[in-house]
Amino acid sequence: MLEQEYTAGNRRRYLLILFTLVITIILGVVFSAIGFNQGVMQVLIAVKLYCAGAIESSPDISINKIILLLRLPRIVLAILAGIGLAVAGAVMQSITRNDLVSSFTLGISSAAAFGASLCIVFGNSLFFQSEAGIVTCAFSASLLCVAVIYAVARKLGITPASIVLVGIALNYFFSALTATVEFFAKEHKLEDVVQWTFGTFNRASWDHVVFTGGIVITCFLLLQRYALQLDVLASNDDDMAKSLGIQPGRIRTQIGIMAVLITAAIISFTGVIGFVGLIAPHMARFIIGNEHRFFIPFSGLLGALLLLVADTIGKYILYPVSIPVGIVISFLGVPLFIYLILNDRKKGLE
Amino acid sequence: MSLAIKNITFGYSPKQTVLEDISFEVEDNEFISLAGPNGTGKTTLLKCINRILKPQTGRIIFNGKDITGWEQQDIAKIIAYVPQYSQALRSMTVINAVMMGRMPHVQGSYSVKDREFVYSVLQKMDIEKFAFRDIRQLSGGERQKIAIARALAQQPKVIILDEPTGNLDLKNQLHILELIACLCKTEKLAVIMSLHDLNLAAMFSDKILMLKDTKIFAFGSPDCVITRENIVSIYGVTTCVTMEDGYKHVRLLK
Repeated sequence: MLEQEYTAGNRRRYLLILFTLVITIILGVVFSAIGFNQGVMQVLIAVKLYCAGAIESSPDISINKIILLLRLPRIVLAILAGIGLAVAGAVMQSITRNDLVSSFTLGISSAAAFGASLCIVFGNSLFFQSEAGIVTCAFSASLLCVAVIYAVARKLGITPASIVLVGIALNYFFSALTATVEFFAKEHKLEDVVQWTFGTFNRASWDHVVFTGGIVITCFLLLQRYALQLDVLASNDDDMAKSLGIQPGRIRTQIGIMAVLITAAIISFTGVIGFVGLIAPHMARFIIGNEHRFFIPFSGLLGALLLLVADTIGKYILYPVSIPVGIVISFLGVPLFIYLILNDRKKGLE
Repeated sequence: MSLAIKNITFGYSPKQTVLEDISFEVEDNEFISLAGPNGTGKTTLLKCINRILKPQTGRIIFNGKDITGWEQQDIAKIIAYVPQYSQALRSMTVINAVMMGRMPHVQGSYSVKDREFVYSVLQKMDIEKFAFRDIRQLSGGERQKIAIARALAQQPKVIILDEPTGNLDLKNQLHILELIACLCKTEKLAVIMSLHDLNLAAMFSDKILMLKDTKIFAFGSPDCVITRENIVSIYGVTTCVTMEDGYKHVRLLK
């Protein structure tokens, strides 16, 4: 009887995840078909032509190319970024036992922004003027940030408090550095820096998708293997976790590095996209509960849905001007977040 | 089965020693209580036994094997720990909370065997009826039972408990201690527990270990250890110690 109820509950959760995955894919296809006469069919035709290798000889060559080279990579990147940022936020919240943490709290985004701004403003050579240069700088700066957090946290003992405190300090530090760079920047360069910090999928290409996707999916699969340990770590103090055979410091380090890697791999390409890493795990916890084998993938899918919807709204709401997704997600996210907090509070009082 | 604690010395900093050269032994079916004033290192000693804390010197010997250098996971298969306050930092069903006890034995995910073992523990502890309730909705006594159930799910040989009756009412104090004493015999467990209440300690323990100023002050059966003189020298409190229903009773005098 216990077994029946237990497995039934788990089956419901798996179904919910599957359902959300299907919705995400459907929305992705529908959003990439907006504005075409044949709608979704057009997308399917384009993909089919591509697979057949007949894209150059097709009648609507320009439409098909728009779908394949502009729309689809953007949609896929939005999904991957949503998954990655949400998953990174979810596990960061678990290892720090703090629901207000996302990988951004650790200063990753400010570090990436600093790297990018440094490159935009002071990059002289051809490489640093290129997009690849900006991405490389942003990525290296975030890794530097991780190295510092790790080094300091190791001295303090890798506890939730030490991670959060060092992260907040670094956040301010890198923000100050970025502000300094901006202070010395010429006007047109300043504009580029500010543009970068908005966070957008406008620049998406299949190259981005491959790089980001590779890291996000690898880390996601690895993180899924930590699900049970994360259950223990998120709901008990370190002593209790140790007595169940877990090494909190070691796991925190491994998971922290993965979360940061995911974040860096995304925002180096897209610019700063905040909030989704905070709100998607909250929504997921609210709906599916705290068991990480469900909580991690469900957070990821909700993150993907949020970014998909936010990006599409941003693209069309003031058409032909496209609002960066980073701005839209904040407008969407804040009311949603406050609603969730209020609801949680009410539940707590009952 | 026997677990020997040998020459444990521990300090949180080099200058301040909390435990000094502590040695004792515990066997299966044996219930040992640690007593002593606040700050004498009862909790610290418990945490040294299952290596949550790493003592500066000393060894833990299980059945003749030195387990001091073992991986935490392997120690967790032998020794389970029930902390002073069973927290519930996140909402969780009782069944999932108890399932965590299988942690030292699993790789990847809980198998059918793991689940069946957990169901049997829930039945044994008579808590199946709230298997799917949120632990945060349970009372202190119920939550303590969940913590003990989780410890049992570890299939340990030794259970360490830190003030398991700390925030329970009279009835629940008795109930939880009866439960532990009963499990000690039926599951052939060694129980090491810190307990402030000397009356309860006298009632349930096979042996009592009294700590004073980082050292063992007295160790033996309740009848030998719970005496007026010992209590005065440890707590500085005058009491009247009597024998009723076959147990030592301590009454505070002003």
